[in-house]
Amino acid sequence: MRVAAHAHRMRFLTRRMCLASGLAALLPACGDFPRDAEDTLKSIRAGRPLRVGWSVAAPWVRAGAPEPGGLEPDLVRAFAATLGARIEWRQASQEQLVEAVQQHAIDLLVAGLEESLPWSGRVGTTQPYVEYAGRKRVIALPPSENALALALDRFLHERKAWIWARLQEEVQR
Amino acid sequence: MKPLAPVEFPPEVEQTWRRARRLEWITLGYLASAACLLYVTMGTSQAMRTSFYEDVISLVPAAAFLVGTSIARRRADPTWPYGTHRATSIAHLVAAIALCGMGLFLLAEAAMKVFTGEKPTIGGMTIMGTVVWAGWPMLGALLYSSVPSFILGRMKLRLAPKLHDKVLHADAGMMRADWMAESATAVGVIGTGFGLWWLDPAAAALVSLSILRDGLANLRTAVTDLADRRPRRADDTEWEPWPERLREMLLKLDWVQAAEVRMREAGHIFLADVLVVPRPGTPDLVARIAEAAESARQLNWRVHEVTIMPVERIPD
Repeated sequence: MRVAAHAHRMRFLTRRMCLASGLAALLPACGDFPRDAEDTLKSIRAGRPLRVGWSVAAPWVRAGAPEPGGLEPDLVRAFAATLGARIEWRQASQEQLVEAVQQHAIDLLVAGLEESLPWSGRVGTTQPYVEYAGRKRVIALPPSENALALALDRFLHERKAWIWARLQEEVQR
Repeated sequence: MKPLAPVEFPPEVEQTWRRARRLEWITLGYLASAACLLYVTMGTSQAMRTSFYEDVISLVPAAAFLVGTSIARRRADPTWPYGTHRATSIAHLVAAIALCGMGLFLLAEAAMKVFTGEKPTIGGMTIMGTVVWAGWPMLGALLYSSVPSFILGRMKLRLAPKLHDKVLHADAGMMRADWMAESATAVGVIGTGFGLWWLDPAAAALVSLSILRDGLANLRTAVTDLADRRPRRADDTEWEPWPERLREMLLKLDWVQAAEVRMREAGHIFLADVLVVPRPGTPDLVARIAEAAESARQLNWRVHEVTIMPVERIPD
C-alpha cells in the first residue's frame, strides 16, 4: 500500500515536472505569440498585398469604383496603412466570399457581418467592433489566423470613438 | 410484512458519509460557478462551449450521489420491506450513463471538428479597456475549472473505499474526466496560439476515449449490480469476500453439516440467503439458527440480513 502510494506520488510529481518544463519551453516563444496557422500577418507585413473581399451592405459597405466606400472599407484602409500594406479589393456575393475566406483566398471579408453567423467556426471573426440597433458587427478572416485576428481586434478597439462617430454619419446619409 | 431492520452505519463510516456529502455539495456549488464562468467567457469558441456542456454533464453524478444516498438511508417500512438501498445502485447507473455520455459527447465533438474542417480562431478579447489575446482568459477559466476538479476527485477517491460507495467512485471518475477534458481544451487553446489548430481535436479525442472506457466499466458494474450479481468491491478490483467468509463461519459451527450461501448487493448493504444442513438430531434447532444468523451479521456491518433455511440436503 505504502509502495503503491509512493509510486503514485512519484508519477504525479513527474507529470508536474513535465508540465513545468513544457511551460518553460514555451516562454521564449512569447514574442511571436499568438501565431497564424498560415502566417498571413507575417507575409502581409513582409509586403504581400492585403486581399479584401467585399459585398455591398449599407451603411457598412457601399458600392464604389474602383474601391468600395463606407465604414468597413475605411477601417480596412486604415488597418492596411498600419501594416504598410497595399489592398487588393475583390467584389463578390457574401456566399462566395465566405468560401474564399475559408480557403485563404482572401485575407479579410467586409460585408456588415453580424456576430451570430451560421457559418462561424468555419472562418474566424474579430470580436464585435460595434453594436448598433441591438446587432453586433464583425469582420471575417481565414480560420485560425490568430495573430491577424488579434492585430485587427487591437486596431478596432483603439478606434472605438472614431467608429461610432463615423457610423452616425453613415446612417444619416 | 416485516421490513428489514434499520441500517446503522458504524461511527467511522457515518463520519465518512457526512464528509462525502459535504464534498458533493461543494462539488455542485463549484461546478455550477465554473459553468457560469465558462458561459461568460466562451464567446464563439467551440472548445469553450464544449467545456461548458461538460461542466453541466459533470454535475450529474454529484447530484445522483446526494439524491441516491439520502433516499437509500430511509428506513424500511411495510411498503418497502427491503428498504430503499437500491437507490444507490440506481444513482450509480445514472452516474455511469453520465460518464459514458461525457465520453461520447467529447468524441463526437472532436470527430465533428475534423469532418466539418472547423478550425478554432482565437483573436483578441477586451478586458477592462485593453485588448488581450483571448487565449489567456480562456486558460484562466480552464484552470479555475480544472484544478478544483482534480483536488475534489482525489479526495473522493480516498473516501469511496471507506464508504463502499460506487456512486462516489463514479463521481471521482467524473472529476478525473472533467480535469482531463479541460486540460485537453487548454492544450488545444495553446496549440491554436502556436498555429497548430489540429491539436485541439486530437487532444480531445484522446481524452474522450479514456473517459468512455471509464464510463463503460461503471455502466457494466451498475447494470450487473442491479441484476443481482455477487457483491464486488466498490473500486471494481475484486469480489467481496463475505459470501465465503459467511460459509466458512457456518461450517465451523458443530451442528452444521453443510452450508451454501447466496449473497447480493443492495447499495451499501448485503442480503444473504443461506441453506444449512443440520446434523441429524440437533436439539434447539430454531434457537441455533437464530444465533447463527446473529453472528453472521457480526461479520461485517454490510452483511445486514441473513436468512437461514434448514434443509435435509443441499439441492443440486
